This record gives sequence, structure tokens and C-alpha cells, in this order.
Amino acid sequence: MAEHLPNDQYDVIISSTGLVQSLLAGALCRVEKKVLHLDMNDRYGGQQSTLNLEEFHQFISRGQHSTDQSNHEKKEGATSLTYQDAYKILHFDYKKKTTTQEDTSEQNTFRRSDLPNDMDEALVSQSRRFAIDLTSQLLFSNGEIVQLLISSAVGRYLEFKCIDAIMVYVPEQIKKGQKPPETLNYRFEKVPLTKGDIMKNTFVSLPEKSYLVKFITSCMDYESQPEFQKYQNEPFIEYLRAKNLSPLLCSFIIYAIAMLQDEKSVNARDGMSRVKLFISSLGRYGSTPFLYPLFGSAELNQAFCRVAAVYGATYVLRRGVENVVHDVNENVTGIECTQGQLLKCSSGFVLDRDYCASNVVVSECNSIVRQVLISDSALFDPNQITGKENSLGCAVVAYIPPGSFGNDQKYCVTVMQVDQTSSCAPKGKFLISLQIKRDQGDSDEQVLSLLKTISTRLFESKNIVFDDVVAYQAVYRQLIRSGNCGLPAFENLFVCDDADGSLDYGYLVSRAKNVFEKLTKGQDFEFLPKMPNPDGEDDQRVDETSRLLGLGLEEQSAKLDQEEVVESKDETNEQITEEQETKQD
Amino acid sequence: MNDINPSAKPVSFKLVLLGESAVGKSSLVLRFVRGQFFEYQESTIGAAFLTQTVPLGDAVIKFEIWDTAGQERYKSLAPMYYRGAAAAIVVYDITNYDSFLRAKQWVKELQRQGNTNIVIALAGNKSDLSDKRKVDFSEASAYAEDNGILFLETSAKTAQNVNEIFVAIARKLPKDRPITDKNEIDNIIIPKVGDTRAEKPGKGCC
Repeated sequence: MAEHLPNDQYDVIISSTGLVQSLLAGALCRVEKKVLHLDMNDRYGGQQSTLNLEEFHQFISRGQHSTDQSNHEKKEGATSLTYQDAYKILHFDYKKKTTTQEDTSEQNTFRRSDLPNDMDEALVSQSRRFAIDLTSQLLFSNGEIVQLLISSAVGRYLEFKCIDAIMVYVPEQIKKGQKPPETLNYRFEKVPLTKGDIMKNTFVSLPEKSYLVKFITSCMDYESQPEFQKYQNEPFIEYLRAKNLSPLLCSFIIYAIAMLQDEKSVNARDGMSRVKLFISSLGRYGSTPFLYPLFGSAELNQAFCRVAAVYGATYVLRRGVENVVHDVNENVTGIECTQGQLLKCSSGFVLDRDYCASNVVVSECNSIVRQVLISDSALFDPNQITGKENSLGCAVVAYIPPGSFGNDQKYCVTVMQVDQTSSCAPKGKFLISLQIKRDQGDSDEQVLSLLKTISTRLFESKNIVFDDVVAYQAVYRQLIRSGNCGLPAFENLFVCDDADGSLDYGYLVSRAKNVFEKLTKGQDFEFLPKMPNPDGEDDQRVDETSRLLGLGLEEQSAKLDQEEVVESKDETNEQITEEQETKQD
Repeated sequence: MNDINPSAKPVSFKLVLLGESAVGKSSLVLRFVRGQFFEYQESTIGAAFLTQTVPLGDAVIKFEIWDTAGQERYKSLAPMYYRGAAAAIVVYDITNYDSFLRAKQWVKELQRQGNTNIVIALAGNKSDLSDKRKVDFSEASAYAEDNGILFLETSAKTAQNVNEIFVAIARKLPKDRPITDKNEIDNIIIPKVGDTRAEKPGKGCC
């Protein structure tokens, strides 16, 4: 039986530790709001959860959540909620243990994990070293979330890896005068993004290089260009063609830079604003604009939840919500959580789409289908990607434009590969995910078979047999729900939409800020102000370094502001000296 | 403790505190870092982590001490908390036997979840209240020995064994390189305030 929670007249009660909720919890606690943060799961992360193999397998093999309505009594002044599972498992399979492994019965007896008995021992023993994201997400180096991590100092809890390469699946190039072959060969090509990469690239032709450079440099003030004025409401692809960009460059720009699902649905205005967002994050930390948290996406959620906890939030996992209680003026006054305890809140209640009013059936909506693979062999060879011999690994994002695998492939497939260098897999294992949008009404079987075909063929093209290297695979569908799910439109009830399958966090951050403003209406609070360092570590650093370098405090603090980004936490002294040296150079 | 040899570069280690609520985790840290003790210390608010350096021969050990921030109360501690921890102090209250049982669970959890080389110390806190003692010294000591972990009875109130337990941990840590459960990673990025890399947008290209 779960413990009773203190009923402290919370200001805000938040359900689920998805990113919007975690940001909100942190931001509200920083302005001294009293927050109770619940999650029905026994983990942090909500839809951005990161699971180890054992947890992931539990998630995959559990089947559908049964929605238990039997306990719901119709209560006056309350709207009862029903859990709606966002996930449907379409397929899973794993490498079985070999007969020699079966003989080690001792291992079996002492096996404490919930993984199946016939699973390959190598997987079982390394289960905890996997960090499998339920949804793929990346941070734009100059995006809102990184700015926020820096300005709030929440970044001190986290470490990141810069994505090493962005690839697009493209057909081989036919040289002028050459007869095109009957079937085109496709392969992944790296999208060159820095000047050096563009010059070194051997796949992109010389004229294309100059067009690409021109395009990237001009896109910061694209709005003032006459061509854009003319094409802004036309399809994005028409605009790119008008700029004389080759089909190869158009593929790079549409799928890898603007990160669109197909080439039709977006006009030049929206397309270019996405391009600008991407380009403005270039050159900050590495050769691509993306950062990925070591140990997986859910680290971000945990970091913001930690801020909330440090500033007084109460955290309770494994606790769901059953009823939303409201007054006659249709204001939410509290919630009843599982185990029946009624908890009051004065300012508002934040819920996610996993719940809806009991009497509502969620209609069919768009979704994404995702295949997760654990492989002994990389799709993107780390040595090739990093240009180093004996590279430890790499992190890659790749795109397969629509139609590359026949007409059944309506949308772009996003592929991600991470490994030990992002602390997401043990040495020698690669975590690969493929993800595609699925329209309402499409058949699950069709999308499932498409993804299986694609992943099998990708390995085949490297002369690798899929079944030889893939030790674990799972395919699942995740709903993208929005709308109010049948809940009354209470002014102080906020329902967060599902993660929409896009890679970056922009939407989630703006949603959190929006709800924060409504919950603190008229109080003009900053969203996540800088956390003071409780032990005055910063001051101490200034002090120590200034003593060492014989500098005045003022000069020193000015220098400290110029700290380099890539650093291990304690190299301040060294760096400052280095910086001075560079200046002298 | 603040007499730091300026030529020695401190080696940083993450240290986490575990234990039931109200056993004195924060008090131990405050005593160690600031030399303070408050009889009626509120539940922890506003302490993200504290740091303290320990000179040890030629080396200087710098502890980054993480507090649970109350997330242990409903068994809701985030896994991020253990990550990369080189050392852990598992605290119980010698006047509360249940807190000792809970401490044993934390030790088990650390051995399962934490780094393989994590240095664990068991602290029987509130040793100034020995007249109300419910946990025998010998029982805790035998448990610690069986599990190969450090053990001291401490009092945040009188400062007894507080510095000692941190120094004992510092002695057991490898001095040359920080322990981490990360595999070798060449460039880790920690976004910082005022970083100079945020140069003009688009610069990476041309």
C-alpha cells in the first residue's frame, strides 16, 4: 500500500515527468510555487523516457495497458480520467542464447532480471549499460533549450555529445554524358556543413559546392531576397529549384537541414525558417548543430526535475491520477490520485495526453512508428564517420527521403545510431532506431514491413546479414494526440500534447513557457532564472584563480565569462592560462 | 581544510549521500563543508550540490557532494543521481533501527546500480544520542566488514568523525584519474554561461 502524501495545499500539481512538465516543475519551483509532481510510471521521462534493456523489454512485452474503469465512481464535482496508452507494440524479437550458454544452469538460478530466460547472456549481463530512448530527440546547439540550460545553470547536471555526422540516403550521381543505369544504387552520403567539409567532399560536384556555400551563407537574411518574396507561399521545393539547386542539394536541404517529412507539405516561408534555425546552430560545438545528452534524452527531464526538487517540489513516482476535482466555477481545485487520496491545489493542474475523460474514446490520430535495434555491427562505421583509426564510436543522424524504398514509403525515415560514446550502449554494441510518420488510417502491418525491409536492406548493402548482427529488435507505434480529450475546458487545467515526432525541442520549450505564464499570470516571473551556486563555488574559483594569476577580481571575472565550452569541470585555471596564451599568439 | 597547495590541481569526484529522510544527510554535509550545524535543519531546499576540497599528501581531492533533494522520500530518486558517482555515504540514524535496514538496501542498490569501483562508506549518524541507541556498533561494523565498505559512527552535531569519514573516502579513491561509468569519450560538452563558441551564426560554414 502506498504512503499517504502530505496534503500541503499545493499551488500546482503536475502529472507525468515528460519534458514540458519537467521544465514547468523546475520553473515554478524557482519562483517559490509549491509543486507536487507525480508520475504513474516508476521512472522519470514520460514520453522522453530512456530505458535500459530490461526496462525496455518490460515495456515492449507488457502488451496493452488495460484501462481499468471498474473503480471509477461518478463523483459530483469531479471528472474521472482514464489512462490511454500512446503505444502499440507491433513486433519484437531477440537473439536466443546458444546451447553452451544453456549449460551454465548456475547463472540461471541466480539470474535476478526480468529478461526472458532464453535471451542471449551477453545481452542480459549488459542490460544496464543500454540507454534506449522511447522517442528520438536532439538539441539544437543554439536552440532555446540549450540557451535555457546555460542561463539557468541547469546544464551543470548534464553532459552532451555533439552528433558527429548527418547523412542522407541518395542515389549515385550520374556524370554528364553517362548513360543512366537501369536501377540506381542508393547509399548514405554525409551532408557537408562546414566550409572544410564542403571542400573535402568528393560526392558533391564543384558547381554544387559553390551553390551550397552560397545558399548557407545567404540564408541568415533570406527574407530580404527578391526571389524569396516571390516564392514564399509556393512549395519549398519550387523555391529551391528556382535557386538552381540540384536534386542532390534539394534532398540535403529538405530532409537533413529543414528536417521535413516530405517535400510537398511545406511552403518556402516555413521551409526557410527551419533552415535558418538549423544553420544558426552550426559551428558552435562541432561539425553538426546537434547535441545529444550522454545516457539518453531522459537526462534532461531528470535535470529539470532535480532543480524542482532542490527548490522544494515533492516527487512521487508510481502514482497516477483518477479524478480531477473542480468547483462550481469550473476551476480545478484538486486531484484524486490512485489509492484514492484527494490532493488540493490552488493555481492549477497539468496533465498529459495519457489521460482523457473516462467517457471519451480517443479517435484515430496520426502516429509515428519506430524500430529499435541493438546491433553488433554499425550501420555507420565509426572510423569512417570520425576519420580516425580505431574510433571508439560515433553518433549519427540519417535521413531516407520518401520513395527511396518504393512508393509505400510516403515519408522520410529518420535513422539514429548511438553507442558507447554517448553512454547509450556497452562497448561493441550499437543502438539504431528508424522512425517514420504514419498517417491516420494507414495499416500498421504495412509500415512495420516497410521498416523491416529498410533496415534489412541497409545491412545487406554493407554485406551484413541482419539476423547475424541484430541481437534485439522491437517495433512500436506511438500516437501523436492533441485536442482536449473530452476534458472540460477549465481555465486552470493544462493538458500537454504528445511529443510530435520532430527531433528538436523547440515546441516543447515554448509550450512549457506558455503554461508557466498562464499559471503565474500577472506576476512577471522569469522562466528558470540562473540557479545561484549554493556554496559560492563561482566566487571561490574567481578568488583562487585571481590569486594564482595575480589579477584583480574585476579583470578576472571578465575572463571567467569567456570560459571555453568543452571542458572538464575543473580545468578553469588551465583554461584561463590557455586563453591568455592564445591571445598572446 | 582550506589550505590548498596552489600547485596541486584538485581531482574532482562526485559523492552522493543516501539514506532515509531525517537521518542527517544534509547536516553531515553542512558540517563538513561549512562547519555549521542547525538543530532544526529543514528538509533540504536550495542545495544543488556543495563542493569541498580535501588535501591529501601531494594531491587535492575535490568532492562534488550531491544531496538527494528529498527525492528519496517516496522512493523517487532519479537515476541521474547515481551516475558517475565515485563515492557514496550511506547514512542511518543510530537511534532508528529501520533507518539502518533502509541503509542496507541502499548499499545493495548502489552495488547493483552504481559504478563497479564506487567507494561506499556507511555512516551511523547522531552518535551524540547514544543513550537512545537502537543500532549496535558491532552489528553495523560487522555488516560493513562483510560488504567491504567503510564504516564510522558520526555526529553532525558534535562534528565527531565527520571530516574523518570524508578523508577515509578520499584515501580510497584513485588519485590519478576520476572514476566514471562513462566509457572513454573524447569530447564531452558541458554548456556554460558566456561561452565564446556562440560566435556569429553560420560561421561554421563560411
